[in-house]
Amino acid sequence: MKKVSFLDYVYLLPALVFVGVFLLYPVVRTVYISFTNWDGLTTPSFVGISNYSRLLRDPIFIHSLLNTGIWVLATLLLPVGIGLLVASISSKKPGEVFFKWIFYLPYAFSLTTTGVLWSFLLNPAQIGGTFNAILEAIGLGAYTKRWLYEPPWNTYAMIAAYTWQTMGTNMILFLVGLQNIPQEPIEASQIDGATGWQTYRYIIWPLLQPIATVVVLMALINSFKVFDVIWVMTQGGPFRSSETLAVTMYRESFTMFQMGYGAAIAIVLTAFELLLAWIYLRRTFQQEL
Amino acid sequence: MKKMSILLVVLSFLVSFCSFAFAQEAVVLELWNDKPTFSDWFTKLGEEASKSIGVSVKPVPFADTTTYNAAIRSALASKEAPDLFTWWSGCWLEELVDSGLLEDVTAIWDKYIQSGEVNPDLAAPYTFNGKIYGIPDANDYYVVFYNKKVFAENNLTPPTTWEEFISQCETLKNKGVIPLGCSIQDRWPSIIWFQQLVIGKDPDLYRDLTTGKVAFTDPRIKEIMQVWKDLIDKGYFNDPTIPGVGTTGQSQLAELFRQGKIAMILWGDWYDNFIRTEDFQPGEDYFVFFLPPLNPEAPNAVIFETAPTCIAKNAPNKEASIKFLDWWLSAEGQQIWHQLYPTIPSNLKTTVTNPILEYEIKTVSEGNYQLLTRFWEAIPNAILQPAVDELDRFMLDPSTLDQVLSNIEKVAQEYWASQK
Amino acid sequence: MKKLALLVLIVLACIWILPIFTMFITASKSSEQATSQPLPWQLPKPFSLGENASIAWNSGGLKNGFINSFFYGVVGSLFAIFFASLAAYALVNLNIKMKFFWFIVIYSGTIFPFQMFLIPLFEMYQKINLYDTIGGLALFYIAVAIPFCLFVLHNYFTTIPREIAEAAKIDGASSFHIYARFYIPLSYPAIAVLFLFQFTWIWNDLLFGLVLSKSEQVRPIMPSLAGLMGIYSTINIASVLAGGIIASVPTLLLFVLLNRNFIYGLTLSTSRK
Repeated sequence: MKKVSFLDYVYLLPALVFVGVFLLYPVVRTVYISFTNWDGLTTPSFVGISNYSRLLRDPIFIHSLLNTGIWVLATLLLPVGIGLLVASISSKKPGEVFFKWIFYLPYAFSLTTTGVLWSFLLNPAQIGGTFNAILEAIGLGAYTKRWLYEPPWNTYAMIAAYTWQTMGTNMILFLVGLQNIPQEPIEASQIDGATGWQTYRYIIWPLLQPIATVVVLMALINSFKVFDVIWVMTQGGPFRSSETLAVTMYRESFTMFQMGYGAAIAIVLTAFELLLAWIYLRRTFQQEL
Repeated sequence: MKKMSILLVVLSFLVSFCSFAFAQEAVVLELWNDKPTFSDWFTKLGEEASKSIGVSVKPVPFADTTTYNAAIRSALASKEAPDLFTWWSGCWLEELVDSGLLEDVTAIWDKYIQSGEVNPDLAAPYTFNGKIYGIPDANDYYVVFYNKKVFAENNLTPPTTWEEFISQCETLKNKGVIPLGCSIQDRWPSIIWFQQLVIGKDPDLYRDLTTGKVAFTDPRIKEIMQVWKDLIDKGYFNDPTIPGVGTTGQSQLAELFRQGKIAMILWGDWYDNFIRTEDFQPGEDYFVFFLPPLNPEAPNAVIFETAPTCIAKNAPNKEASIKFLDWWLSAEGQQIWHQLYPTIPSNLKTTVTNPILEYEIKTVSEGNYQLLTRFWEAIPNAILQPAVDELDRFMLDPSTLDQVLSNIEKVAQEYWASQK
Repeated sequence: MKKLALLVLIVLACIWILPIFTMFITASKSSEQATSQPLPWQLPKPFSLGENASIAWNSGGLKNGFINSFFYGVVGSLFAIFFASLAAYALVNLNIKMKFFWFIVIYSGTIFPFQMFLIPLFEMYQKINLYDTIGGLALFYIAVAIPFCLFVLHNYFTTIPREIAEAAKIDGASSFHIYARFYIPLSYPAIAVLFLFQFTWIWNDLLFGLVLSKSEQVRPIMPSLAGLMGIYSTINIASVLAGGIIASVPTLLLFVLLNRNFIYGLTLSTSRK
């Protein structure tokens, strides 16, 4: 009996080894680096928590934290919210497949390509930025802006690009969830005279929870990690106004060569992410009970 | 029969092994760089070197400058150090020199300086504690590109004084042409006008500023920024968000210049690569001039950008690397490199075939121009990065002048204090 | 109400498709036209998509990137799915203590932002000579794909009725036999979904390809595309966008092919018992 037990653990081994070596070890090492003043070139020396205390005094860090907060909120509202909206409207209706394709298509383009494309779209009208050109063409020329250079519009613009690319996957997951909902309760409630909205709120929405949990959790975690889009479109600028913690970490490590400081930022970022995820999951499990 | 075939196999292995061993005669050096578009040129350079000195070079391009930076830093101290690698001069080089991971190539320079083939001033951005640590692979001056057709249409010729320059800007503006091109795409170009105006006031002021002897909030610097602000407020510049050398493959600034919508662009002379097309040629359609100084009393000065190729201390083939750099700095090597990549040659014996570079070399020599290192290399990274961001802020909104200068000064003070 | 909803949908669809439309139009313009007439309603004249694409493919090094990324995507996904499925099977069906703990340990791989991995991985790869090797990059992609695969497969395996396994065990089948002959075949929809997602992720990766490789023989496609857009590149926007289109073809194709499996698989993999 004991021999069989040991063999069972062997099934876990490859996954554990890979994740441990390539993912978990680096995390531990980053924690270590965050307590040093390493610059990538000379040997690091231990500096205690001075990197962390520096964070509190750094206005760029605070600003970056705020931006991260905006991204997290916006990513929950937009890619998730619009995904839900679109899925709800098009589910089980003619044209569902057509809309599914249009909204999922951007996901085939990498975030890098998305960043390049949207930068091009947001150029000044003078050099053919599509968006500004359209505004001018329909008489809204007064609203044209240097989108990527004016905070906070640059952050909003990048959020738009990110939403464009990721909404499709959320929509598909919601479509799946909606497809799984049995018809009987819906028909029953409609016979009882419930309005569409009431049906949605009291029947459909609760049954959508399992999928919704997955979608929201994934969106939450991913929102902390956003990097490619921001780096390609503004590099966190101008003058570091659109940096999120992920970008600040990269900038401090690879542009300023303050790897210890960058590591500390990465730790703080992860801590926030874990905290939020834990709060969310706990709430969800409590509700289920 | 079987024994025969086994013998044949073994023999062929031996033969190929031997020929392989003998073929190792020509050493191939790795040249790490972050310029993928230079790969063809480096390869051809390597082929020529191989014919001449039996040492060849293979470029190893990195797609991204930040990763390149990290890779070099990590590799230099390890056994994986490259033979040769491209880097930046001034403060960037100083950091590596301080870490003790670079090979000193003073001997190579001395040889060519003594023979009069190389101007000793060229070595300044590479010299630390009396030793020189790299060979230039690119030398560029910051000059004003001007559209000849636009100038001709408005009866203008390259200005010789600052007043003339300003009145030309006014004339052009009134004719609906944007006089001056600029950009903040990719962050760093905001230093271009800043450095130019400071040296135009006084080259010594620039030197003092970049070594911490003068504050960014000094009244003279403020005055210069005010001049710049005036130019922007008068509408002489284009929207700075237009990409000059954007990281998204765009350079609309060059395109607008070709179309005659922008008359002049102050940039490193390597910007020629972005401007020149089959239908738009230097001499006929555009040329360059040196911007007259803001202060008529100021001596002739030009911003000078130079980038080195260095040898790692832990290079696997050090002897061959030194041999290669020696050849590259020689008249022969410089001539070949000049044909491949248009840059100002380091060796005076080189025949310059590029009209713009020819003009620059002549002007600098006849006018006794002082060479001031570009701001990017002249000031330590800790001050440089925030300064670039703040100058970007200024270009987007010149009313932030005071805030910008005091922000930069704050960082500068912190840095210089920490160095004491 | 229904009409309003439909209108909203159509408006959103138009917004969503505009960037793609602009991308294709601009990528089909000659380099001169792309800068002088960049608006999407100014149609390409002459139609230069082929020319722009070949510039990106050849001078841009996209050819090697394409082949490399294809290898990483296939190898990374398949091995990750394989290892994750073994672990998922163990956690669902075998006699493991502290199941939740092991699950969290492996799943935690997805939680950390990638920046946490960057520097130490770079360091480690240099030390053990994995830097700039195809094998090295492949190993990383396998590792990074495992956590999500575990999550999905674990959930999916719980929906497979225990009776099947128990019946097989009574018939004398070994654990591995049950795994290979029952659980895997029953999970094809989920596996197809995972392959789609992970291949796409690996294909689209920029950061790790950039940091862990340097030569064209090893570099994946997105870093090559980024190189096309770099400051030393004089390749114009039309070719860059054409390159972007080329770089997106496999992920598009994959979605087209696995489309049906995708929906079906998701249905089953995310439902509760």
